[in-house]
Amino acid sequence: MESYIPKLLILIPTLPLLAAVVVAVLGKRVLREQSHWPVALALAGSCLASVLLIFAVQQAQKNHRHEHVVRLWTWAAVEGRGAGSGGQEANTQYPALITKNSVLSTKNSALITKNSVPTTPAFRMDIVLRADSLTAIMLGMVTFISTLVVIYASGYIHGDPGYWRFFAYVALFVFSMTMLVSVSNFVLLYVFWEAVGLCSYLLIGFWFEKPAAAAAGMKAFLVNRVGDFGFALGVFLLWTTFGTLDFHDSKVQTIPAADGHAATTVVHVDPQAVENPEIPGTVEHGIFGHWRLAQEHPFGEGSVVTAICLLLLVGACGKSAQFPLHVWLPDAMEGPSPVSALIHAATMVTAGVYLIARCTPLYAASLYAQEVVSTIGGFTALLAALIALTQTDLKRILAYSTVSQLGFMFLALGTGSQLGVTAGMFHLFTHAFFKALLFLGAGSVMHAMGGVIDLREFGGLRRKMPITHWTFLFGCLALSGIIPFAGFWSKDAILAAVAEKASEAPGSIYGYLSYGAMFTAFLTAFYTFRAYFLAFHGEERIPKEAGHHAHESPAVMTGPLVILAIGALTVGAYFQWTGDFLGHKDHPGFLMQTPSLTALQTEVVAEGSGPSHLTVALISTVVALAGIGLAWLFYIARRDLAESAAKLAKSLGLYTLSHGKFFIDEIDRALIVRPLEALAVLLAQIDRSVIDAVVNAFGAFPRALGATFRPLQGGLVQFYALVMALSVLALLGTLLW
Amino acid sequence: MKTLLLATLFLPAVAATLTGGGRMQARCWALVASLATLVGAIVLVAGFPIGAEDFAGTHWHWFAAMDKALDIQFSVGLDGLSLWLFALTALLLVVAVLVSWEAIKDQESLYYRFLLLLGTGMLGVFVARDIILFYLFFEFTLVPLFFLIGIWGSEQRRYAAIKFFLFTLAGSVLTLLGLLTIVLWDWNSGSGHPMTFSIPELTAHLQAHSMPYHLQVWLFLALFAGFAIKVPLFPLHTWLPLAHVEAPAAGSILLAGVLLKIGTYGFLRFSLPMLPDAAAACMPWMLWLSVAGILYGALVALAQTDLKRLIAYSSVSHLGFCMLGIFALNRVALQGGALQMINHGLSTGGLFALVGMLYQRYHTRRIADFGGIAREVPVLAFFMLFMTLASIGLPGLNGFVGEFLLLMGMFQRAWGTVATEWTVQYRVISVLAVSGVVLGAWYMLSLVARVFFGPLRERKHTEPITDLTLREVAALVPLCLVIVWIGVQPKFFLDRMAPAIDQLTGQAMCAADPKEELAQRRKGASEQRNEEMDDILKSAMEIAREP
Amino acid sequence: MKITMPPELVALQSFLAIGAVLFGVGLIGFLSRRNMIVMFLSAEMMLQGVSLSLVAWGRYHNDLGGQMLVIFIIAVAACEAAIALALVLMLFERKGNLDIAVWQELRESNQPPFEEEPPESEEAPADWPHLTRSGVLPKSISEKESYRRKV
Repeated sequence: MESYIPKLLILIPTLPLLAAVVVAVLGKRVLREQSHWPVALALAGSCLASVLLIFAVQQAQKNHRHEHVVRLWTWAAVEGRGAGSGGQEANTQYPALITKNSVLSTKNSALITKNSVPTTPAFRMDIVLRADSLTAIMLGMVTFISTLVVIYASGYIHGDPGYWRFFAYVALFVFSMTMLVSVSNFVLLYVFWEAVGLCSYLLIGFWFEKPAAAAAGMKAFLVNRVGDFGFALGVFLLWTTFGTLDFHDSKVQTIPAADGHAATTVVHVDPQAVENPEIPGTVEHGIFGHWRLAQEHPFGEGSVVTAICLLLLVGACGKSAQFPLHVWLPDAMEGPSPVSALIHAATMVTAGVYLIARCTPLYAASLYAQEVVSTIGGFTALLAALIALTQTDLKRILAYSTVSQLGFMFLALGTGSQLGVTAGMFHLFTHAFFKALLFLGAGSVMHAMGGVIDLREFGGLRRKMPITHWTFLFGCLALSGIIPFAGFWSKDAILAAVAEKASEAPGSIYGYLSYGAMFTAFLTAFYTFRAYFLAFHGEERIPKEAGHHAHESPAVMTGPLVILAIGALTVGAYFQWTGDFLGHKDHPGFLMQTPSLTALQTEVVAEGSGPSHLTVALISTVVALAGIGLAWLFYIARRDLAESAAKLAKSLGLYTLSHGKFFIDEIDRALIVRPLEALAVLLAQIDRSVIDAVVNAFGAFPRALGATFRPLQGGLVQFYALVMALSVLALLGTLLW
Repeated sequence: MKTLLLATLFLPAVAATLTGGGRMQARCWALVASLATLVGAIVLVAGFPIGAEDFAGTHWHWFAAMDKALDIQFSVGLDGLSLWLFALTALLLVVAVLVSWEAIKDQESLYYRFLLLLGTGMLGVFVARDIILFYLFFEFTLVPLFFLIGIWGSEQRRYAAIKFFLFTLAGSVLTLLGLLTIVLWDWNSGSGHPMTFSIPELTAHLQAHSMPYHLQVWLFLALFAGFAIKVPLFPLHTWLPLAHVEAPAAGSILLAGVLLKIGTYGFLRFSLPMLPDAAAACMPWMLWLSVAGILYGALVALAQTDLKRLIAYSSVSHLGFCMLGIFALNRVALQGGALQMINHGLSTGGLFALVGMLYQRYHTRRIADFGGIAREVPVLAFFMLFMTLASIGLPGLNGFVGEFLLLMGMFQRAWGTVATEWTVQYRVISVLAVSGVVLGAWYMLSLVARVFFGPLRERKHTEPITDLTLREVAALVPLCLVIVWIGVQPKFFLDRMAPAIDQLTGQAMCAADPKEELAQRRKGASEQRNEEMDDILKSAMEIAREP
Repeated sequence: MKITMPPELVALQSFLAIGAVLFGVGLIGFLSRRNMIVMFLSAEMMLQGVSLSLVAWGRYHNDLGGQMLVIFIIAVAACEAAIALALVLMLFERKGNLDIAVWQELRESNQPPFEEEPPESEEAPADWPHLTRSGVLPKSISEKESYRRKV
C-alpha cells in the first residue's frame, strides 16, 4: 500500500490537468455539451486516489513513516560557488550566509576571516510533491467537494455558450489546488498559490460581458496580488535567512563525470535515504525537515522569524479573505454559484489556513505572530458577521459568513496549541461540506428564481423546492453549530482551544478573543437563520424573472446537495467519535501525525474532553440556539420587532455601517486606489512636460545655435568669397604677427 | 557550425538584396528567409554544448594596419549569453514578417528589405566578438529601423524616427569613445601585446590587470550613456513610447523584443566584465535608477489611454527589473535578469503583435474605443490574456521565473550579505521592486478588462470583424510555446546561460561584496594595488569559472 | 640712410609688388563686381598675379621650376577659361542675365533671398537759380534709367 503513495500523489493532480487539456482542446468543437464528462471522471478518479492515499498514509504511519516526498524534475538550479557549498553551511543566524570559502582560506587565513568572499548559496528548486496527513486531508476534501460541484455544475451551467470553458477552468483549478496542497517547497507553493488565483480570476469573470463580473475578477486578482506581495517578501526572507525553501530535508550527491562532461547531480529526497549515512552527499536541511525540527530553537528567536510570519500572514490574509484584504470575496460572488461553492467557500480560500497550518513550527517560534494571527482571525470573524447581519443578497451573506468562518480558523491556528491547530483544520474540513452545501443550495435557489438572489425579491420557497429547503436547513444548522451537525464539533473545538489558551495565559488577548468568538457564534446563528427564514419561510413570493423555472432543480443538482447534507450532518460527529481528527488521550489523531505538527504533540498530553470543554460546548449551544431564536422572533413571529430593531440600529448609525460593509471598500478606494491613480496621471503629465521637455531642450540647443549662424549662408557667392578672403587675411595676419 | 553561424547571420541581409517584385513575392521571400534563419538558430541552439565560450566562432583578420599592431577582426561566435538572444531575434523576425503580412500595403519589397537588414544587424550585435564589429552592427540596427518607423509609421512618424535615431546615436557615440579608450588603455598598459579589439581578449586582460578605479568610473559612465539609453533606463526613456506608438507593428516587436536587449546585453558584455570595480561602486545608483524605472514605468502605464503607449511604458518597467537583476550583482539575480531579457522579448513582442492585429481590425489604438470584444474575437482575447499573464509574471509562464530569481537575488543582496552603509537602501529598493509586481498586474489586467471584457461597445463603422487567421495564430503559437517552456522548465535555459554569465560577471560580483581593502583602494585611486586583494579576486575568479 | 640691396633682390621686390597689385586688383574686382564675365576676368587677374610672383621667385632662386609651373598654370587657365565661359554661357541661357546674384540657391533653406534694394533716391537737387532754358529740352533720363544695374 505504502509503495503506491508516489504514484497516487502524481496521479491526483495529473488527472484534472489531463481533463483540462482535453476539454480545452476538444471542448469547443467536439465535446460541446458533453464537456463535463472528462472532468467529472477525472475528478472522481482523483477523489478515489485521494481516499486511497489517506489510507496509504495512515498505514505507513503505523510503520512510523510520516513523510513521503516525490521528486519529479529540477525546475531551476543556480549552482553555488564551488562544489557542494551553500545551504548546508548556511548560518541560521541573521544576517546569514557568510560562509568561508575553502579555496580562499588556504591563501591567507587572517585576511579571510576579516574579508571572506560571500558565497551565494546554491539555489536549486525541484518539482517535489509530498504526502503527509495534512496534505492527505486537504487532497481528500478538495477532490471530493470538486467532484460533487462538477456534477452539480453540469446541471447548473447547462446551456451556457461557455460550457466547455467552465469545465476546463474548473479542472485547471482542481489541478492547481491539489498541487498547492501537495508541493513540498515554498516557491512551488507560491506558484500554485498564484495559479489558483488565476483560476479564480477566470471563473469569477466567467460571464465577462457583465461589467460587475469582470471588475470583480480583477479586484480579486489585485487584492490577492497585494497579499502575494507579502507572501513573496516572506519567501524571499525565508530564503535569505535559511538558505533553502524546501519543506523537506534532501541530500545532494554530485557525481563527477569521467570524460570531462558536466558532473551529474543526484538529489535524494526520500527521508530514509537522506538519513542513511552510507549515501554520500551534502544534506540540505529543509525548513520543516527532521533536522531542523529536532533543534531546540529551529528558527531562532529573533525579529526575522516574526517578520517572516507576519509577511506570510499577509499572503494568507489575501487568499483567505481576512481583514483588511477580505474585500474581494463578497464581490467574487459575481461568478457562477458552483464556483462560489468550490473556490470561494470550500477550497481555494482555505489555502491561507493551510499555509499557516503548514507553517505552524514557524509561528511557534514567534508568540507575537501567533497573537496577530488570532487577533486578525477573531476580528475578521466578528466584522464579517456584523456585515452579514444586514445584507440582502443571499450569496453575499454566505460570502461574509465564509469570511467569518475563515476568521474562526485563523483564530484557532493562532493559539498554536495542538488542540487549536487540529480544531482549525477540523473546522476547515467540516466547513467545506456545509458551506459548499449552502452555496450550492443558494445556486439552486438562484437557478429557480431566474438569476435573482436578492432576499427582498422572493421568499417562502419551502414548498416549491423541498429538497433544496431541507438540505439548506441542514447547512444552516451546521453553520450555526447545533449538535450533532458537523459545525458544532469543529466550532466547539475552536472555542475550547481559545478558552484554553486564554486560561493558560491570563490577561492576554486570547481572553477577549474568546468572548468575541462566542458573540460571533451568536451572530452567526442569527444571520444564518435570518437568511433561511427570509428565503424559505413566510408567504410565497416568486420574482417575475423566474418565469417557468420556479420549481425544484433537476436531480443532477439535488443529488450533490443531498450528499453534502449527509456530510454536513455526519462528518463532524464521525470524526469526533472515532477520534481520527482530534485524537484521544492516548492517540494523537491522524492530523497530528504530520511531521511538522509532531512538535506540538508533546505539549498537550492530558487534553481531550475535559470539564472546560464541556462548559464551552454548553455555552456555545445555548448561544447558537439564542441566535436562532432571535432570528425566528424577528423574521417569523414578529416582523414588527425586526423593523423596530432596524430603526433603532439605524438611528445609532450601526445599520448604515453594517449595510455599507463598514465602508472598507470606500476607504481603500479613497486611501489607496485614488491617490495611486492621481499619482499615475501626474507622473504621465510629468513624463511629457518635464522629462521629455528636457530631452527636447537638448535637441533645441544645437538647433538654436544653428539658427544664429544661419544668416551667414545667404546664398550670395560674393559674400562667401569675401568671407574667404577676409579669413585668409586674418590667417596671414596671425601668421605674420 | 561555423558556416552555419555565418550563414544564419548573413542570410537575412542576402535575402534583402534579392527581395523584389510584387507584394506576394516580397513577403513570401521574406518569410522563407526568416524561417531559414530561425531553423539555423534552432540548429545552433540544439548543438550548443553547455559552457561553450566561443561556439561556432569565426575569426578573420579583417583589416590590420601598422604591422598588425592595429588588428580589427571579423570575429563572431556564440556563448551562453548570446545564444538565447540570438535565438530570440530569429524567432521574433519570423513573427515580425507574419505580422506585417497584411498590415503593410505600400512599397512592400522595400519594407521587407529593411526588415531583413534589421534582422542581420540585430543578429550581428549578439554574435560580434570584436569591438569595432560590435559597434558596426550596433549602429547598423538604427538605420533600417529609422526607415521602418519613418516610412511605414503612423501620424508622427518623422518626429519619432528622428528622435529615436538621434537619442540613441548621441549615447552610442560616447559608448564608442569609452570602448576605444578601453582598447587604448589596454594597449598602453605595458603588457607588450599588440592592440586588440577582440572582446574576449580584452576581458581577459582587464580581469588580470584591472584599470585604475577613477578611469573605470569615467568609462563606466561613457558606456552607460549608450547602453542606458538603449535599455532604456529611467529617465532616458522618452524616445521609447514615441517610437513604439509610431512604429509599424513589426517595428515595435523588434524594437521591444530585441533592440532594448542590446542595452542590457552591453552592460553584461562590457560594463560588468571590463569595469568590475566601477560597476560595483555604481551598484546602488544603478539599483535606484532601476527601481525608479520599475515604479515609474508602471505608474505612467496606468495612466495611458493608448494601447501601444501603455505597453511601451510597461517595457520601461520590465527592463527596470532586468537592470535590477543585473546590478544586484549576485548569481541568482544575474541569472534572473538575463532570463528576464528573453522573457520580456517574448511576452512584450507578443503583446505588440496582438496590438497590431487589433489595430488592423478596429483601426484604433485608443483603449476607450474598445470594450467587450472578447465576444467578437475570442481567440485573440485568449492570446492577449495569455501574453498579459506572462507579462505580469504568472507562475508557470516565463515572466515569473525571471522576476522571482532576480528578486530573490536582490533580497540576497539586501539581507544576506554583510551590512554596509547601503544595506538599508538595498532593503528599501527590494521591497519597492516587489511592489512593482503588484502595479504590473494592475495596469495590465485593467487593460485586458477595458478592452476585452464588459458589454460589447457599439461601433460606428460596420465592417465585419474576423477573428485571428491561421497565419496570425501561427505567429503567436511559437511564442506561447516558448513562454510555457521557460515557465515549466527554465533549467534548460539557465544551464546554458549560467557559465557565460558567471565568467563575465565573476569579478564584478566579487567587487560588489563589501570589503575594507576595496574601499581603501577606491579612496586612493592611483595607489599601488593591494597584492593580497588581487589574489583574492583572482582565486575568486577561478572559482567562478568552475562549471 | 640708404639701404643698399642686391640688384636681384630689388628686381624681386618689384616683381612681387606688381604681382601683389595684380592680385589685389583682381581680388577687389572679384568681390565688387557682379557680372560673371568680369568676375571671371578678375579671377584670372589674381591668377596672373600669383603666377608673376612664382616666376619672380623662380628667377630669384635660379630655379626653373617656378616658370615651369607658371607655364603649366597658363595652360590650365586656358582650359579653365574655356570651361568657365561655357558655364557662364549656360548660366546666362538659363536666366538671361549675367548677374551672379540671380543664382542664390546655395543658401540655407529658411533664409530669405537677397533682394536688391534700389538705391535711395538722392535728395531733390536744391533749387539753384538757373538760366532760362533755350533750345530743345534734352531727353530726360527717368529715375529708373538713371540707375544702371551694377553689372
